[in-house]
Amino acid sequence: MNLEKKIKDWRKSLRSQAHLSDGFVEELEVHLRDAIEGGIDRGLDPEEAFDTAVKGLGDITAINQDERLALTNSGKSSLLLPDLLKNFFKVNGRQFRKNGLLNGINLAGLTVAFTATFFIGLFLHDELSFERHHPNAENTYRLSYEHTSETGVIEERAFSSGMWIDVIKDRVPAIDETMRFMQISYGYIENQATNQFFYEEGIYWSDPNFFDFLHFPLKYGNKEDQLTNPNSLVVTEDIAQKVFGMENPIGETLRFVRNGIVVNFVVTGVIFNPASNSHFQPNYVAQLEALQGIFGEQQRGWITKNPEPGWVYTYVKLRESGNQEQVATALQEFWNNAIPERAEFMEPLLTRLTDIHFQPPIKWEIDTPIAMSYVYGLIVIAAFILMIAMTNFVNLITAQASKRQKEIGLRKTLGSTRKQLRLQFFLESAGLVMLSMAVALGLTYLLLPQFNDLIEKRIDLAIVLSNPAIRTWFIILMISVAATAGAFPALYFTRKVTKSFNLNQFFKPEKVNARGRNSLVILQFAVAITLIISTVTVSNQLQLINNGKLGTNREAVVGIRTTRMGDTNQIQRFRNEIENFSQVASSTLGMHLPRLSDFGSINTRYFAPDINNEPLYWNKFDADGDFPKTFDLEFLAGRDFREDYDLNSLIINESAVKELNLSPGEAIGLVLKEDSINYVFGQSDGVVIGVISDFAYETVRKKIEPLVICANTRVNGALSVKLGPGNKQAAISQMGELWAEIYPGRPFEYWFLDYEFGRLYSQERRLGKLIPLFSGLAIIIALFGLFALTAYVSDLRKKEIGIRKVLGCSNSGILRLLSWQYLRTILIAVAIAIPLAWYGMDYWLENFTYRVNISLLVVGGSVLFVLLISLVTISLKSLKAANANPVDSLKYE
Amino acid sequence: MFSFSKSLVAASSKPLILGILQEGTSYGYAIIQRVKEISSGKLEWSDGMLYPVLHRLEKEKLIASQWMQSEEGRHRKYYSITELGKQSLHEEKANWHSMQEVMEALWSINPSTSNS
Repeated sequence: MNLEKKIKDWRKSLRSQAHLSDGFVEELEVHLRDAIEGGIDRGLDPEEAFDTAVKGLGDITAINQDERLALTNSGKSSLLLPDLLKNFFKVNGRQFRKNGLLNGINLAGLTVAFTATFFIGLFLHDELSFERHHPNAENTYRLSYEHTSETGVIEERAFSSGMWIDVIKDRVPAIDETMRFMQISYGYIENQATNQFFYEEGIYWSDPNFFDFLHFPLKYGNKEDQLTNPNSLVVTEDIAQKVFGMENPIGETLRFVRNGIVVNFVVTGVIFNPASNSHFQPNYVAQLEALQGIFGEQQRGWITKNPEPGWVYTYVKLRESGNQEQVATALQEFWNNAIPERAEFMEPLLTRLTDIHFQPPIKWEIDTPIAMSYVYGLIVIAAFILMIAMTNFVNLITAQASKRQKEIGLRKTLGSTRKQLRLQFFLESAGLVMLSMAVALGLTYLLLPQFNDLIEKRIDLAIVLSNPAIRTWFIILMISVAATAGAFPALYFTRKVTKSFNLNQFFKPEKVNARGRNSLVILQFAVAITLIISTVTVSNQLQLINNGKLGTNREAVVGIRTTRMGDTNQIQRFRNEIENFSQVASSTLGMHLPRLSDFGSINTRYFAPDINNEPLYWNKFDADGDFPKTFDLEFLAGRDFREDYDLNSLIINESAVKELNLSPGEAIGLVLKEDSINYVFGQSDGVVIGVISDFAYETVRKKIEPLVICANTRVNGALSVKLGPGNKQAAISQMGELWAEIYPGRPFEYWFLDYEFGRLYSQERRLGKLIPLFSGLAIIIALFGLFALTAYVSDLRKKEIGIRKVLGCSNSGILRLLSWQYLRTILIAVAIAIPLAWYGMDYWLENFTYRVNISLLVVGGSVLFVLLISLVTISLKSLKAANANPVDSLKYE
Repeated sequence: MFSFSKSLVAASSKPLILGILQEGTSYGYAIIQRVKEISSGKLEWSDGMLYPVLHRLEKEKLIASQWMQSEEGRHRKYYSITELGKQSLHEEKANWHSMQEVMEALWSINPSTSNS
């Protein structure tokens, strides 16, 4: 009896009839054998037993159906079975290694882009979150005033009088809390224990509630113990290190010395270094009361008893918003009574704390505000960077589609559903994006200290990320970016490839997706060229601002503070002696440059009686006869002051001449009468002896105003020293030694003029570093993409090139063929980019009084640059393809 | 001959198999025999249909399986009930009991609908 053979046949037919797993077939066979045995036991003969057993099993097709249903529909059946998932990872790994260079470039570009975006995000977060961490910031206002000049020019000012708030606090119930502070210049800190002097800025003399009013967490000390008496002093972490060389100097003593008056302090607390997103940047905080002593007996009480606006910053917290009017009305009433003759020129000004950073800078502003155009500009750059990198990514992923058609076809044949394929590609791409994000996040963390140095900020990632709203948004953003990057290839592949898998497409892979990819390349290059043109223009404009035309060798001029140094003879002695130093070219005593307007009013009323009787509201600047020489001012007409300082001589600038409708030559000999109630240094009516070209003596955000330079030997604000070539630090230490000899115990305080000037534009300086950096990155990423794509396509067309060569095409012909395709694309991009950049830059430049032109040179240069770089990239790759031996690429088929 | 409707067989297959496996580890053929035995032959499945049910229960982690050598030397796939399966059986039992109570309540009020 051939029972075994019957069973074998049955098994065979079972396998051919239904797609059952091996295990299941075996299980059924065992069952069959058991059933046959059972039949034989019941007395059937083997053949009958077999037939009964088979019949007992039932319809195989139905079983098969049930089995499939059982395995797919029940339980948590998923699109990706664990095995399938494993397979996907395996294939992905292989895929990645197979195109290692391509994928490496792709990921590197993406990672750099994410890192750059994170940094831009951090910068913008820092700028946009200004002051928001202070308690009840949105109901906090700075109280100051608006001044209208006799000519009707309205000027907003950040100062107030210390008396105002004392008076109105009780009259306006809406006021919850108030705080005043002052910063005074020209003093120094002395650590007697180590006998060290420090000239310090950022000494805040404040009401005792400073640490309640604002958010400055203490590192050491208790909040209740701070500013409790006039000897209390709070310092920052940095100052603790710098002045005491220790982390916790509580209990240590310090002196503040100004004009020979000494205030003794005991350190009671250490605060963390101030966050960069606030205009409060104290290094030291002491009681306002402690300052009273410095003004001496005569002026005691000046801070809180003088109704005239002085150097006090006042802040009020209101119980609820909308009550600013009450404060303003009360203040105006007080002025009307206390200072009636000034009150009509004054208007109360309440600026919301959180708005200060976003308004144009006003006079005596201690904040460095940001113009929203920069915020938008950076957002656009970040978007561009992301767009370029994502385009690269999608481009390179989809470029591989043709290579992967075989894989997709096979998967389909083996039963992958389209849903599964889509999910596969989605996970593959999104996974790569997530990976690159994770790396970028690590890079951001590692590079943050350098970034902080570059932009002169103190951004703390931990603090930024401690905000749950930011965390949530960050995660949402990241997921949506990954999903977008993942969805594109997923849809692309499944739509292009799975819908109609036909031979035609299989053999002409390049045709399948060339058009879509080309438009992405166009987009990418249009963005890159726009960025280059914009970056160069922005840099030029910022350069114009930074250089400010204040002399051509500004970096070689050192300013030395000489204010209130007492005896002018000693200053003269110092000056005479340094002029003998080999490196000192010339020096001039004059007012503080360049932050002139911070050190007093320079607005003066002049008359030009030869012309008419109209008053001229011009700026006046006192300097000695060496001023034009030291600052290399350019004479348009006339001459410099003489050696003997002709005190009646005046030099005026080009703007002044223009206002009089004269030519520079006609202005020589003009008589100007000064009509100033404030003049201190003697009558300066005089005769114009020279006309100089305009130079920026104030912020160039404003138009350069007419200026009269008067020769005056008695000013002593600052000594400006022009240094010749050589080691500047050596010259400075030489001067420092002499200073110590002439003024023992007085700090030698100097500054490089370019640095000081740059402080007026710290925001511009920051952006001047950021914008080129990030645009440069965007451009590099775009070129990365082009390189990888060219490499890929030439690889893909190896066979075609081989055939062309065999049929007689020359190397240069191949080169032309490969290059032309991409050059054409880039030329289209150029055509899109130029008007875009032109319009954008024109719009941005309208913000400036003095602006550069968008030069054709820049536009042409940018286009040439991109063309050149792309040509080099393309040629490198194409040459390799063209030079390859066609046999190598053809021999496999 | 008396026979259950197809849907009733399908519905009862889960508690039946779980119940049999509660008695001890078993394999396909033996499970079928046991079903015949306890139903006195009233419940007769087409043998092959048992396996998809077993596979589904296994996938739902109510039972677990293992290929083992039997005493007489045959290689068989043995099934045993899991903790999850025991819980599920408990629930099934409760469900079937309450269903029975509902039916009995109905028929004791309204004996005409009963066919006894």
